[in-house]
Amino acid sequence: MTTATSLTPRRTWSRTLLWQFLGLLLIVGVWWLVTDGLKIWPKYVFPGPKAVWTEFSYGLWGSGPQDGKLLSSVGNSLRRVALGYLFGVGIGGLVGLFMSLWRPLRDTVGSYLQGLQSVPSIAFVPFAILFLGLNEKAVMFVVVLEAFIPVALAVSGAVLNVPPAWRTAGRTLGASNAALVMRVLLPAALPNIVTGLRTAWSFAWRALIGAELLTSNPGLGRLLEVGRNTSNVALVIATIIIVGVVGGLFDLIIRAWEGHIRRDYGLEVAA
Amino acid sequence: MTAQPKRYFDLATADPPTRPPQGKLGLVTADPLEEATSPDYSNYGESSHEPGHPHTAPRGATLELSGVAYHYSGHSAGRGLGSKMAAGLGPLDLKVKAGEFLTVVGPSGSGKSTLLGVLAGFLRPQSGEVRLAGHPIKGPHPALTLVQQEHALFPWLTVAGNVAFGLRSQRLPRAARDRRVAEALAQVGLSDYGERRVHELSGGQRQRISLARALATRPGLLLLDEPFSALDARTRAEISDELLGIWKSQQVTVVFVTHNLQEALSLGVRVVALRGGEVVLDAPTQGLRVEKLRGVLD
Ligand SMILES: Nc1ncnc2c1ncn2[C@@H]1O[C@H](COP(=O)(O)OP(=O)(O)O)[C@@H](O)[C@H]1O
Ligand SMILES: [Mg+2]
Repeated sequence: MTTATSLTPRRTWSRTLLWQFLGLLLIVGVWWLVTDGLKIWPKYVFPGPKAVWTEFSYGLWGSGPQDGKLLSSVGNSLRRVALGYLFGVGIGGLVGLFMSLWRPLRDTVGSYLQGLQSVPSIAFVPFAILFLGLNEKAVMFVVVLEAFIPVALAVSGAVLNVPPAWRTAGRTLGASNAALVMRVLLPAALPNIVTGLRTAWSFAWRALIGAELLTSNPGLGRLLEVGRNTSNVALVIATIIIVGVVGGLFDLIIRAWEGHIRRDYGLEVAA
Repeated sequence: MTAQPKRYFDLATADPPTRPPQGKLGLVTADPLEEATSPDYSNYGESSHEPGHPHTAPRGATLELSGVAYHYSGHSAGRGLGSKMAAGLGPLDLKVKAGEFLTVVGPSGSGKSTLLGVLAGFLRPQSGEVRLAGHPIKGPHPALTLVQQEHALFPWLTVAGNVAFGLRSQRLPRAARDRRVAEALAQVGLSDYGERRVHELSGGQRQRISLARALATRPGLLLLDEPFSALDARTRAEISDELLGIWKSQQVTVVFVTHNLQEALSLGVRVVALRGGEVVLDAPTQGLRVEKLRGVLD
């Protein structure tokens, strides 16, 4: 669902959108065909688009006592991910910057972060539960960690890759150490930092859903668990779609920003 | 005008302070109002270069290399005695006198850029010493501004932002900064390009903006590494004239690297020819012929 729209020239945007819409129609069409159309599986095993739509309408704008769960879950998850992501990005940026400026930190913390990044976020959940308890804190811990690692690595890598000619130019024009960092190194590293922010977002969002599922904190992750417990496959599918749409939307926003920066920096051929 | 920081040229300290002092030591100022009191250079080009000639007016400070050698690691290491000379520079002695226009020529790979890097304090020589006004310098110095061979404009800033970069370091007030930026852009003939992005410029325009960015800071010593290599003959002539005009009116010391022998002779007061990291000629340009220069370089 999230193809490289913003990285393609503006001119072809409407075209890309059209193709995406056609693709969506095709997917829903095939889905309808194998479920409600040909009735290959029973409804409670694999429901069709209509049943899932019903879950959406109850969950998002229904007003019965059991309704509106989807909407409140989205709210809860968004609140958590926003907090955790911002916090993780903040400390990740700082740690990454210090890593790039100070070699001992890079050689110690930096090399371990690389290894830590290959551990799936879900693997941290048991530790978080035992360490912090079966609560919101455990969820936040995992989200912060998953946002922190890619940002720290991206910032330190990006700053280290700044062409020496720009450092020399900054110095010869009289920049102090602080000015060199703020006015040369960080702006020069920005395109790669933003790519890191995008990675951090997808890591954090996945980590959140996983952690919510395991810790039963109200949110989209728990809704998946509720769906499983009540054998409500339609709710499970509806939740998956929401998770994909929310994750993809934010990714799209960062992508647009990334594309804007890359065009400004002359890293991309303008349309 | 008195509130404006004057061109920084601190003779008293070897280490660069974080902030340029305001109008210290009564050295050269770039204030156009003071042009009237500066020596008359209008006869440049026809005159001889006897001692005391305005070309080498003892304003500013002398930059001096003594016994300086710089060799790139990996080339100098692991070579036995009698092997080919390692890539780099020197050992050599060189004196850039205050206020002079020195050109440096040599074929590609002869060490011209290395020499500028050492003069600018970016390359620390393995032996020898670099002294500015008699004081050893250990790193980049605010009085020395280098324009690198490869353009190093900042793509996150507009053209005007690039030219203003050094002025922000000098904490120049906004209005003065804008004035200087406009002036520097006019000097390189690109007044209308302030709002452009770097990637929207041609190679030659980028070189001119790099020059403007250095000029705007009013350096005491301007180190230029093949600054006109991407310019067509006509623009080159125009900008050369502009540079000579600035040099005459502001008494900036210029070290100008080029591989163009004709340019080296027509612009400089004195020329240094490099070959294989060694100085093979160091002479006044007056009366010097291109053939002679070609001869020592072959
Ligand atoms: N960063 C570097 N590492 C190793 N060798 C270098 C480096 N830069 C330049 N050299 C070598 O040093 C010599 C002088 O280079 P340079 O000063 O750039 O020459 P020029 O500017 O006259 O063309 C050349 O032989 C070049 O290959
Ligand atoms: Mg060179």
